[in-house]
Amino acid sequence: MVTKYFIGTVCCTLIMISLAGCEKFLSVKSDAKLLIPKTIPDLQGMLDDVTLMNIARTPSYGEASSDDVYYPPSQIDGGSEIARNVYSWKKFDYQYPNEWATAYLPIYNSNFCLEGISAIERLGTNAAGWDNVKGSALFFRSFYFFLLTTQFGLGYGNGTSDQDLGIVLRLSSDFNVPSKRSTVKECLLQALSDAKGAAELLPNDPLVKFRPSKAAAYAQLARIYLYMHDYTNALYYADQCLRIKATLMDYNGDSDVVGLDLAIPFKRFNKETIFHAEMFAGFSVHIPVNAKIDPLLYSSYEPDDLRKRAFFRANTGFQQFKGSYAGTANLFSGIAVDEIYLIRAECRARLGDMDGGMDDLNALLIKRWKNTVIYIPRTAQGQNDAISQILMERRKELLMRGLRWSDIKRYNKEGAGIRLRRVLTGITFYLEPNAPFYALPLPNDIIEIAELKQN
Amino acid sequence: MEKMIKKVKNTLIILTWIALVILINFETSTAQVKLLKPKIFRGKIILADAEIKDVYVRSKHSGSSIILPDGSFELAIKFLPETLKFEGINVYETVRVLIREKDLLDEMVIKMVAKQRDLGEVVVSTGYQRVRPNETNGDISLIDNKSLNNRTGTNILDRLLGQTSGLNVNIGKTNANPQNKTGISVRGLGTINGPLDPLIVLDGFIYEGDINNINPFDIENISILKDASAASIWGARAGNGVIVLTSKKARLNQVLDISFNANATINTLPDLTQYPQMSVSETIEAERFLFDKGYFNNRISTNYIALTPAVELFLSKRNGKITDAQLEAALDEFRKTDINKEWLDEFYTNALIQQYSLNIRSGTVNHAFSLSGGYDRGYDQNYSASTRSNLRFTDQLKFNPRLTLNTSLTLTFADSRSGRPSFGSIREGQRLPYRHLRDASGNPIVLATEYRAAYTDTAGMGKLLDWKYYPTEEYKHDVTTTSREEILGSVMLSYRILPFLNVEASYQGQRQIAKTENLTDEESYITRGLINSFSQLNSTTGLIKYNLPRGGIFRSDNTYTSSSTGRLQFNMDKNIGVSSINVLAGMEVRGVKTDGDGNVFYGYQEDPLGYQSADVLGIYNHFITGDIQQIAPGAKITSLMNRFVSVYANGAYTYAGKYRLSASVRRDGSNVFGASTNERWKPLWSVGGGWSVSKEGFYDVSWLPELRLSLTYGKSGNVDLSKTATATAVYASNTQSTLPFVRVRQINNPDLRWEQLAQLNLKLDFASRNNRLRGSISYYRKKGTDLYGSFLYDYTTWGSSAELTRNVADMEGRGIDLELMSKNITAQSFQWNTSLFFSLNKSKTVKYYTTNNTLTALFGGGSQITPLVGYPLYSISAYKWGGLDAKGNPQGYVNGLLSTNYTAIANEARLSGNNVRFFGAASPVYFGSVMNTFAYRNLSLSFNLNFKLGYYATKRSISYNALASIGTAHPDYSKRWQKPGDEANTDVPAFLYPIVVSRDAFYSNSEVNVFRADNIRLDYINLNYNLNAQHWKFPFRSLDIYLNGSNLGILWKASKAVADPDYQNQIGQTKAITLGVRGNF
Repeated sequence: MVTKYFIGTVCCTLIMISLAGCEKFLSVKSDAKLLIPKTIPDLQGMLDDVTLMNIARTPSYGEASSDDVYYPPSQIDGGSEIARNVYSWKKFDYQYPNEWATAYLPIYNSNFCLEGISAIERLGTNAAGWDNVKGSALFFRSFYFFLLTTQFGLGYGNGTSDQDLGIVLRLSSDFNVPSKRSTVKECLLQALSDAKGAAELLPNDPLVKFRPSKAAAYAQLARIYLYMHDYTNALYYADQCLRIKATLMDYNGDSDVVGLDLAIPFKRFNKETIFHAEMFAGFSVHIPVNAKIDPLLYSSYEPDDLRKRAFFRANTGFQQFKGSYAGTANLFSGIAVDEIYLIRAECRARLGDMDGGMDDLNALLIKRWKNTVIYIPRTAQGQNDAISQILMERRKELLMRGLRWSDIKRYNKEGAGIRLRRVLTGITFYLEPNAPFYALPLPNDIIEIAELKQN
Repeated sequence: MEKMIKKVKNTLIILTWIALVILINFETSTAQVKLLKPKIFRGKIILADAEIKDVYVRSKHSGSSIILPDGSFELAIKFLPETLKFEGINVYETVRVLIREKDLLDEMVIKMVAKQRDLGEVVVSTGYQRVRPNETNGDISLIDNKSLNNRTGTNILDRLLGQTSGLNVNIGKTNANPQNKTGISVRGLGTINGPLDPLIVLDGFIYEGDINNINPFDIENISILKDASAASIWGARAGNGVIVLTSKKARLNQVLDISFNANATINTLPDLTQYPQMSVSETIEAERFLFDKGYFNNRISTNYIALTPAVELFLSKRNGKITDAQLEAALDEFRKTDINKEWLDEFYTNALIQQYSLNIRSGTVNHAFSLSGGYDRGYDQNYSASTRSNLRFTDQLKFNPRLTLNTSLTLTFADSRSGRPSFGSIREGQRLPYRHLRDASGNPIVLATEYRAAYTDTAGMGKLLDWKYYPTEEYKHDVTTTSREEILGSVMLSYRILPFLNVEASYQGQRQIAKTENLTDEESYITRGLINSFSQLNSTTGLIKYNLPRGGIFRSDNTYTSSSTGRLQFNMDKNIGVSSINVLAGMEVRGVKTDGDGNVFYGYQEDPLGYQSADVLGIYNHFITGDIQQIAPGAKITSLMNRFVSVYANGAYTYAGKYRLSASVRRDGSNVFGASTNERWKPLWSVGGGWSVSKEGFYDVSWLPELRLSLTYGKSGNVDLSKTATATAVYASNTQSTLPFVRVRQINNPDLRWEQLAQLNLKLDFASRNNRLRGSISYYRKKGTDLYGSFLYDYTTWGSSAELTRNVADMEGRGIDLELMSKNITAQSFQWNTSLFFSLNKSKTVKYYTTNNTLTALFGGGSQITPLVGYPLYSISAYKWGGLDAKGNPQGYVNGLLSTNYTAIANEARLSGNNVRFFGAASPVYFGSVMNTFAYRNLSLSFNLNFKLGYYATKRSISYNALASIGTAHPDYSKRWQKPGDEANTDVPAFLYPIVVSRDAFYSNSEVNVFRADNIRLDYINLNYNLNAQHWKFPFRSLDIYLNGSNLGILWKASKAVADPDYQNQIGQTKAITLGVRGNF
């Protein structure tokens, strides 16, 4: 009898004890790889996720719409419907996945890290890591805000930029905050302030070129000021950048040049690269294996210009681009030293320092010239000639880096009157200077869900 | 606040503890009293479905008495309290206690349970308890051993099809949720985006191993728990129904029984024409057309991308290297190819499976054991070989009348080895090859799968490894083997504390090691190609550097699953007067751990064993494309741990054997990562009532002696362990950046809750006299609320996905399950029995948030669950069809007028849906089977017809975009519009270039391609001959020879549009013939 009571009591007690203990039993992680990012290494890890932060990320709709891309009628007439819509600058409905989503992903990561880092106290022991997280997050946000603005907002200038609609400035990771479009000016100012914050925090040299650095932040500032026609500031920051990093590859025989005639002539992370990023495939219209280069542009490269060999290869009677610094068939869309030389050259020339501008141009071009023939340094006949020479070289050097579309917008705002022309199924299409289409259409699902105004 | 809750909780726990202790100890704390004079106590035994024979009542102090055949008894009681024990050889022991004198006044009615005998007795198992079907309100279907033997095969779940109602196997449905493995649905759907598989339970424990490990010959029967009352005892994962497998065990007092089975199954060759493809001649002409239009120019310009042989010839002709005559002669050679025959000869065979099993069972008064072994071996239609061995031991040891120990141990070993390529898996120039697979003298030929031979031959200057693909040789050098080892053991200690109270402590441990190994030796194309692509050739010195080590590549992938379940359960079974109470309560703790690792070894050689290390961080240029690439490191490691804690109780109260009330409650907790405590716990419950109408005094329907009605309602849930409420990230590393990284996998989604599924079930059981007609009919309603659904959100906020998961959907399902068993002829020498299983299942979405709420959401053939309010979850709609126009373009409608503006058609469809027609469900609404069995003397014949009715499918006709890009084209190509006037005779659009994708999309989603998919199949025919083995010298008790043919094809289909509506664009089931022998001695 006693045993009976005993067993019953023990059983009940056991059940109750185990019930009380199960909260702890259930707090074990279901996947050992899971974490909730909170610490500095976690946050740095989010910014080091290169496949989300750097690779196949930067918008490409603008590149596809620019005058560097050329399609022979036989090819585009048989192309996909989307390709024909894009090529004829037709406004059409497109949905997820798209470059709007692609570019806002690193912005989410940046905001998440900025919120995370503000919850961590900056101490002497963690200062380097803390600064790098915050600086990098600010840089990435600036980088993608700016690229999105140049694509989905009208060009800057003529006094309407504080009314023209830009992009959505998302400054928090909370998805309950509704999206609304800010003006082009607000967008650019946000990109500027983020980049300035980044420049104060980042180290001169990054651990890997996927990570931003002080040089990259200065270069980013130079890019934005250039787009805003603020040549004084653009010059200042280009110069600051080049003080840190100014090495150019000599195309005649640099250790980072694998072979000019190869399909991939340059090494990845070569010495000109300041910050490594690659372009999104988007509508595939700009992809080098599809897109041909405007024959007129190709013929403007002189025979002794090594870029003619390094940048192009024949494809069905035309030329396709192959001079990417990405080390793959993907297009490089990060920041490299050659671009900063050209920014400084342009700003110097525009601000009256013609010689300074031409010196920068020659410093770059001599590295691109066949060394078995003598390079005759370029000279300019007056300021306009200097500027136009520099701008021509800018187009030829920075081909297929996602810059031409924003350059056309900038030049047209200054009255350059560049009128784009394309032929499709026997019809000639024109894109007039400063046309509303220069602010490219947003994805229509975003317009519907977030109730944004379409361009 | 939180502190207070904790305080309240602790108090509650202590109070419950005190209450339980008191309850358990209270009953026996009365003293014994001698009565002044013995008092006659009368009672009656009720024993359903069995004869009362040799049943006795024994008491502790008042002697014993036999029970009369009518069930009455009387006994002179001398002491109180007194314990009465009712026992007999064919009944389970029942104990009653008399406490007060008052108890002696009323006549006692005791319901006894007949013991399960070798045959005939039906007991269903819920996994937690075994009950007879008429003693539960739950809706449970039992598939007995005989029915399981009707179908053949190595997978136990395959044997369920057509043997019960409400169970359907979905074919051709895709669902993104990785937790769906079986394709089986019980009573349709209960969720939209959550897991769809029913829960599989083996001998009382959730089975976490591979279902293919289970030897079907080890399974005695299968119970399918359909309604909430039956399933809710299994808690959170029971929303999709529960399939309870019960294995064969020995019983106490059983004579030695040795049974065996041996059979072989052979399949017919597959019909490759079920994979529709236009003729070789048409393929070549289409390629010529595309070539002339310049379609291949981009590929040609690279010099290295592989082209089809015809395009190579067209190119040679264009370059002036061959003449027209040479071109046509070479093309004629291709036209002669019979692709199907070549593939069948080279890569296919008649699949063959051999199965052997042996089972030994024996039991004494207090000990029973069984030992069984099974061995299967065979190969499939592609020569992929597999073997499986099972060894199983169960033991029951009765220490004393109170204490019993049950143990079991199962070992499983399964191995497989890859076979030959399946049809269409090898491509030449991205298309299905149409060349002979061997040349005239039988030598292997070369297919250009990736690169053009002309390029690889010259670029390597003869220094590279052979870069050619030999389709008839590759599979010999690319071999994947898998092996699984599983050990499954359980212990259950059962102790009777009081006559009516029983406690069981049980534990099950399981461990499975699954290994997949792939070796591609240096002879394989895949290895040669990889080594070549990493090679660097110095064009001046001619020296070659292999950056990837030469030798084979060996890849291993191991998964280790282990699970432990511990359970403590109290069972109470007490009769009070004419009432009986049955309660079980317990708690369960479960943990499932899944670890994985894998590796890749380069430069691998088997003899002597060795490998070489590879530089996984180095960056190399691809030999042909020049793209940078890195050697894949291949090492991986994973560790998952799921834990569950549950408390549950189930109670039933029966009054006079007529009225039964039941209820169950269960609370589940799991370690969902990132969830707050509230989301980790989920309470579920059910209630039910039953009424045995036929036991009422007023019931006098003599032709229907059994009629029972039960009604249940309950809530079960669904939890998808991959969906969490906090932003969770995973940790990984990247060889490009050489840095570790962290990636947010789910953004914070704090509103996420568990899915709820409520089910109402009304069931009527009936049986005519002598069980000539027996069956049940159930009507049920299901309502799912808070179901997971994709919610289109503003992806500006995150960008990683267009949708977030939220509890946005509600669904409703209703249906009827009918089971009828009739004995049509019961003559001595000839019997004819029929079983009919009929199910009606309708489900529809009731609530869903999405911006696309027009019928266009239902395009796509109904292969995926598409929630659209008011429509079935799998359903089909299509564009209204306006015929072909005079140029062979398909026409739809815009604003009610014929149009070929496909963008406008799509826009109208998306915005208003006026030009779209809804057809119906894409999964069967009515389905079931009819099985007839004829027995004449020793010969019996049974056959089963499966029917599926009331649904639609979309024919996958021609897509010119697919034709151009991958060469896949439906034979409808030959019916296409070719000249004006054809539009009167055909609906197949003309082949135009450039290809308009939206025109293709319109045609494939138009109503001309929708057809009624209803069909009736001859599922199997079974012929069994029983040899009169008893009369032989060798001591067989029974010996049967059987012949079974299964998947015998479609007998009727509603539409002639396709050969098999359930298996489109794929090789469907092949007929299987099984010959076997089984017996025992």
